[in-house]
Parts: sequence; structure tokens; C-alpha cells
Amino acid sequence: MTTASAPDRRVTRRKVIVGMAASGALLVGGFIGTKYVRRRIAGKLVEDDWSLRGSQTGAAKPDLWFEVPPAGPIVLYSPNVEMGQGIHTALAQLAAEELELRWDQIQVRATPSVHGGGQKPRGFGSLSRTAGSRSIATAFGPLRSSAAMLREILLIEGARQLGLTRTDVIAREGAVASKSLPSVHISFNDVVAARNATFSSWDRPPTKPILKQPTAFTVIGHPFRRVDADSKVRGAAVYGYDATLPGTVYGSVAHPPRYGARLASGTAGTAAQMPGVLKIVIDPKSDFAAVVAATRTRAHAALDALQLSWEGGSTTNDAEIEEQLRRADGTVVHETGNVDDVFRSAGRTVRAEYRTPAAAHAHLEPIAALADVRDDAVEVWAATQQPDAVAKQVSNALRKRRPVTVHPTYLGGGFGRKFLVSSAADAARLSEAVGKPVHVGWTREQDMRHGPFRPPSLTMIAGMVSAGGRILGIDQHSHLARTTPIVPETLLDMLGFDPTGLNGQVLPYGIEHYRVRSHVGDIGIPTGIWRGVGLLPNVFAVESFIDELAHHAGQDPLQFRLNNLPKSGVPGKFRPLLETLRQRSGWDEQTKAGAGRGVALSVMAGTCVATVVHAKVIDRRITVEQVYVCADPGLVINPDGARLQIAGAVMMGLSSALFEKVTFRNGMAEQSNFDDYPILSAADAPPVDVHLMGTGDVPAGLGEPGIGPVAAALGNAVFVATGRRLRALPFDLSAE
Amino acid sequence: MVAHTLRCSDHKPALTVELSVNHHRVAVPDDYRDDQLLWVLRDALGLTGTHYGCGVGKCGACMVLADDIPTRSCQASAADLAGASIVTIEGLTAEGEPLSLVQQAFAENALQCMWCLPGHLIAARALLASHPNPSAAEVEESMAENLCRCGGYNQVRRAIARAIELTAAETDHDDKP
Repeated sequence: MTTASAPDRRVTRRKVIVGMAASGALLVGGFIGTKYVRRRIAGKLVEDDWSLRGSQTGAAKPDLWFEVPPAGPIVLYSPNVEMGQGIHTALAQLAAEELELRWDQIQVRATPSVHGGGQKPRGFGSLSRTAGSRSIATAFGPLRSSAAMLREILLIEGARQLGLTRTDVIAREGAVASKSLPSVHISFNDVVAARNATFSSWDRPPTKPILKQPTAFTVIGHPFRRVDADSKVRGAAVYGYDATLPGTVYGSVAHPPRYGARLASGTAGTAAQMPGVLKIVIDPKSDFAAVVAATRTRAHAALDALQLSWEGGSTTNDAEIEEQLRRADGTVVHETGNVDDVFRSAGRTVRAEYRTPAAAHAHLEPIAALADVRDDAVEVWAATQQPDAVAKQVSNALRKRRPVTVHPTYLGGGFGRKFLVSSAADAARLSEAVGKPVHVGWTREQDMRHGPFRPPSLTMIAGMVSAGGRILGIDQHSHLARTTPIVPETLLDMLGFDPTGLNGQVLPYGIEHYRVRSHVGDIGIPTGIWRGVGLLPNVFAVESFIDELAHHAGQDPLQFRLNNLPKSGVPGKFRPLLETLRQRSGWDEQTKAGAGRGVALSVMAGTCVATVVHAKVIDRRITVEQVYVCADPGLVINPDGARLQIAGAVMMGLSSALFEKVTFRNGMAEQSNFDDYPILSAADAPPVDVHLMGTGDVPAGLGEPGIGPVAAALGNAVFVATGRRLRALPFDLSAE
Repeated sequence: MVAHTLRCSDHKPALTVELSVNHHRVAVPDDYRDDQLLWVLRDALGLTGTHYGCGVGKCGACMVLADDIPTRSCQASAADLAGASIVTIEGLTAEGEPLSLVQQAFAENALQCMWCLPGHLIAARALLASHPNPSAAEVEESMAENLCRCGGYNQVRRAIARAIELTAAETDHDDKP
């Protein structure tokens, strides 16, 4: 998160975390440790997340974002990686709008990060982190400002080259053109080709360039063809697993048999004699064992032949996880009114417990990177959500320090798993050892077994509702496994809650007496960020519970939500969404026997999402017939892309609700591939009607928010269809 | 990035496994003789458009055409397919040539990360080659074995519908004198 000019509300969760960790964490630790301060921090994080919007302003740095070649499309350097969210296309639209480019006059490249070897770091630094549904909101101000500045300096220089003045010309289809005589023009390419300089030395306008008004948008808000589509349908695009150089050899790296186990000792065994083996590295000091071979298959076979002895590590079995979660200490992260008094008063208390298991990311492209360590420099191609961190990691992994350039590749899915990757540093270490480019590509089994997984959850809620259908009070305990090492242990201990676990934890209704305690469990398995992190587990629990309260009060669940939502603020945005959803989904029509409709809602990254699921149950088998979503993501850049993000999140949420569960035995996952860990296939993929109701003139986030309500909405539909309340994922109607 | 060039045969003729890939005859390097076709294509021949997803025949990202039949390249060795004509995603259209109709349809209706795309393209191509105007059930059947973790299944349905439309338009065009 960059610009100094960004307003306060763009302070993100990560900025708070990094800022706190950096600014003498131990000194302030005791202070943060007070209950009041912890609750204030949690409240600020939730409020900032709910109201997240991009900034209209940002530093204009045309040299950082753009390259204008002597011929051909203008190059936009993307700070963010393209992992399927369509970010390269959306950023190109922001640039094309301000620069007045045709769609074929812009291309997007991922920006390399350079680190180490005494060189000044290059690239977008921490801005290159692609996570938290924040890319568009973060880039919106800086990119548009930079594009507008580039347009202005091209106009000033182009006018000069045409023998005109700035006021005589306009930007049109990638050229500086005379206002009065359209045939007099010079392309941006030619303007730049005539001057051999970087933009920073060019004449700038005396005042800040004026950004286009939303009413004048011709690109923003319209569907445009994905900029990466053509290379991908030709099979020419380079993902992390595809990266190759002449002479590339293949590394296979050992994973411990139990999470956290240390490599005690090891010998090569028969691996040294196996064909194609080029190098065996066994280093207990760094818990590292690997083989480099001429082909992947031979590398994997030789790795299996190593005699490795591991000690310690996790002993977690699946049956223990719930107890470990239940034991975790809690911190109050939200409190209004006086909850204890309400529950002491007369009235019936509704209580329920909800469970969600660990889940794998199951991105279709397993973890992969290529490293070429040469004497003077290192180049890495990696599928990573944070290339700047990978550059530092690689630099630290090498015996000799050299400048490291990390080229982010396309990602075959990320979902948070590619935020922290070890493959690049491992490949670099092996490349340094063999003096050749080394590619490390994990097998599906390695990828699926070693997490970090979506944190399992246990939510215990008590609530009271009036006869008239007002929620009187809710007392909620949300237990989630921790997301270290994303959030450092020292910070977790200070805060008493896990910031990334908070997503979806606090209900947006106007509840007079409401207390949420966040409990962070240590369960001996690696858990981390998984699309929305706490969002799906938390919302499944709290929005199923709201449904239980509605039925308890004898009210229609959609109307019950409307009755309890505030009229203003962020929660007020749900009202038009629910009203529209009621119409679009045919909510008030009669349901057939064995069928049901369920509704749920959630907010994350500034985007409110409300979802209705139509489901039917035949012979205890759940079929999702249709899903309707209404969402307010602020200003929409590309409506096709936005709908696809939400529809995709719906599918991933349905997959979680219907199929996905990782179980553990002796400190290791029991599932390892799609045969024992099925995910949603086309046969179970319903039509999804996504209706965008964006308000305002700045964008919010879209990558994760759509996954929030899905599981709860489906569970609520199944309750209507069968009378059975499902309180654990994945749903299983065969269990009594 | 430089893709590996296709390696010409410099092995002893009697031991060489030869394949037809995208209408070129290529020799399988000795190091890859026991490998599945997927790794021969990707690592030995540099045709990285065919993707690895699971290695157990469950995800479909590695699909190629073998004698026009959609085939999982992670489940067949090079030797198994020695006589067959193999077409990969790169072979659906020649470099520099316009996109084929199926590719065009999938470019207009792009999926999300598109790692699964080679499988969907190959399956759709095979479907339309045998059924130019498939029923909804036939479309569903052709998609059944290809996973898309980004959840783009409805987008695949739209792309196939568009490909049918483009194919029909081209047929009409060809029919005109």
C-alpha cells in the first residue's frame, strides 16, 4: 500500500500489521494487551474492511507504470499478478481510459521485482502483493493519476513537435491530434521516439492533470476482452510450471512426513546410482533434502530413494482438532450493549454450534518456480502472489549475494496459497549447486498434503429474539485455527485475535446487545490464508444462526434480515440488495416439495454480497438448482470480469459446502489428490445469476467477497427443503 | 524465455520412439522413454501449453487429441502412442495464424486462470468435430471430465455455445457458391 496521499480509510489490515510489527512491537505489547485497546483495534480493522474503497488520488509516476515503445502497443507494468481474477485487464482499462487508447494499443506485463546484491530494489515493492481483494482499490488512484500525467506530458511534447501548443491538441486513439485539423496528428510512439529520454525529464503540466469524470467513461464500466486470453488459448502463456530455459534441469525437494518435523540425518541410498541424477543435497541444518536430475520423473524417483530420518513434528489427529479449537483463549473483538444482562433476563435462548473443516486450495497449477543462478546475477520465474518477498527470500537462500530478479509468471489459480512459496528459494539453492537453471514443480500430492489449509473453525452462538422478530442479543464465540506464518506469533499474542480470521466474523445487523469473542486455536497443522480466510467459515456459522433465529421467530428469513438491518452506513447497503434479490430470485413464489430457498449475506473488502440458493433434496442428495447474487462492489471496472469473479467464488463456496474436507492423521493430511479430495465439477455447477449494483465512483474488492454467503445460503435452503439444520461442512444428509 | 526447440533424432534408430506431434515427426529423447506423454510434451519438446494438474487422470488439464480422441497425456506413455497423431493446444492453430473457431470462442468467453483451458479446448474441439450441433446433454458429457477450480463451468458452456454458433456461420459461408 503506497501513496502518502491516500486517505486514512485506505489503511489496510496488512499495513496495520506490518506497522505494528515494525514499530517496537514489544514496547507497545503491554499496552495493546489491554482488553479495551484490543477491541478498538479489532473494531478499526473491521470498519476499515467494510468501508474499503479505492482512492481517487495517488502519486503520478508514469515511469513506474508505463513504457512507450517506438512502435506497437503502450506497455502497462502491472504491480499485481494475474491469477485468474482478470486484474491485468481491469488495470489496462483504467490506463486506456485516461490515455485515450484503443484496446489494441495497450498491453500488460507483470513487473519484475529486483532485490539484493547492493542494487537499489526495483519494482512495485509491497504494492506488488496480490491479496485481500485489494488490487483494484489500491491501484485505482495511483494508476489513473500516472496515466493522466503521461497523457499530459505526451500532449505537451507532441504539440511542440507538431508546432502547436498544448491547448491546440487532444489525445485520441493513442495519438496527439490537432483539435481544429484532425488530420494533423502524431502517434504517442512517434512522440517518444523523437526524444531519447525517460518521462521524468519531460515538461510537466503546471497543475495536476484532471482525471476523467465517470460520466465521460467509455472504457471503465464496459466489458473488454481479457488481455491474456489470446496467448492462453494458443497455449503460449507462461505460468510458473511452464517456465523453462535452455539446459533446464529438474529439482525435487523433500517434504517432512509430519508437519514441522526436522530432518535429523540422511544418506543418498541408491539415489546416487540412479539414471539422470545430477546432484543430491542433504542438509539437516536447514531441514533441506533434494535431488536434481535431468527429468522430473527421475528427480522424483531419486528423491523417494533417499534414506531420510525425520524427528519431532506434529502428532495431530483429526479427532483432536475440535477440542484444541474449543480450548483456545478468547478476546472480545466486538461488544455493544450488555450481553450478560440480556441473557439473564427472561426469554428463550437459541443456541447452536457450527463446524467447518480444513480445506485445500486445490489451485489447478501446483506450486512451481524456475531459478537461474549465474555468477553475476540471478533470475527467477515464479508463480507467486508477492514477487518482492520471493526476491528477498531467494537472495537470503544463496551462499553468494547477487542481484535477484523475480519475474512473476501467470498463476494457475492462487486463492491465497501462492502468497508464501518456498519453490523459488529451493530452485535457486539447487541452481547455485549445479550451475544450471533448475525448475522445481511440486507434485499434486506434495501440493495438497502440505497446506497451509483453510483454518478449521468451531463457532458457538447464543441468541435471543423478540416475538416481533427483533434480535435482542447475541453472544458469539468464534474459534478459528491461526493463520501463522502470515500473521507473526508475537503479533497474535499481543492482539489476542487473528486479524485475517476476522473476515465475516461480526454480523452487520443492528443488534443492541452483541458480543463476539475471537479465539485463536493452535492445532498443529499449517493453516493460512484461503480465499477470504475467515470469511466462509465465519459467515457459514453466523448467517446460518440468523436463519435459525428467523425461523424461531416465525418470520420469513429474508424479511427478518431486512427488519434487523440498519438503514444507514455500510450495513444499510444490504437493503436494496435484498429487495432486488427478492424479485430476481422469485423468493416469494411457492416452493415445490423437497425444494427450498435460502438466503445469506456478508461484507468483505468493501463489497456487500447477498446470495439466494435454490436447492432440492432427493434421497438425501443435495442438488443446487440455481444461485442468485446481488452485490455492491462500488465502481465496477469490467462487468464481465466482476460477474465471473463472483460466480467463481460461488462455485468454490458450493464446492466447500458439498465436498471438501481435509482430515489429519499423525500430523499429516490424509488426502492428496482429486481422487480422494473431490472438488465441484461441471455436473454439480448450477447457473449463477450475478447482478451488480455498484454504488459510488470508486471501486472496492471482488476476489473474495462472493464466497462469503454461499454455504450458509445453501444450508438455509436445505433446512427449508428438509427441516434439517446442517451445522457442519461439508453437508452430509446421510448422517443422523 | 526460450522454448526448447524440437529435438531431432540423434539416437540409435532401433531404440528411438517416434511420435507425431502437431503434424511433425519427433523423437522422444532417451531420458524420457519411460515418461508419460505429458512430460515428453512439456519438458522434452517444450510444448508447455498442455498442463499438469493431478497426474492421476482426474482433472483433465493435460488433455491432447490422439487420433482425434481426447486423451489424458498423464495416463499414457510415449511408447503407447507411438503410432498416433497427437495434437496439442499449440497445434489447434499454427503460430501467427488466426485463432481456430473454438479458440476464438474461448478467447471471447475467457475462463479465469485458464490453467484448465487446454483440456476444455481439446474436449470442445473433439465434441464439435464429431457433433457440429451437439445437444445440451452432449455438451455436458464433453465437459464432465475437466475440472475448473476457478468455477468457470458456466463460462465453458457459453464458450461452447459460441463455438457452435461460429461453426454454423462458417458452414453457411462455405455452402455459398
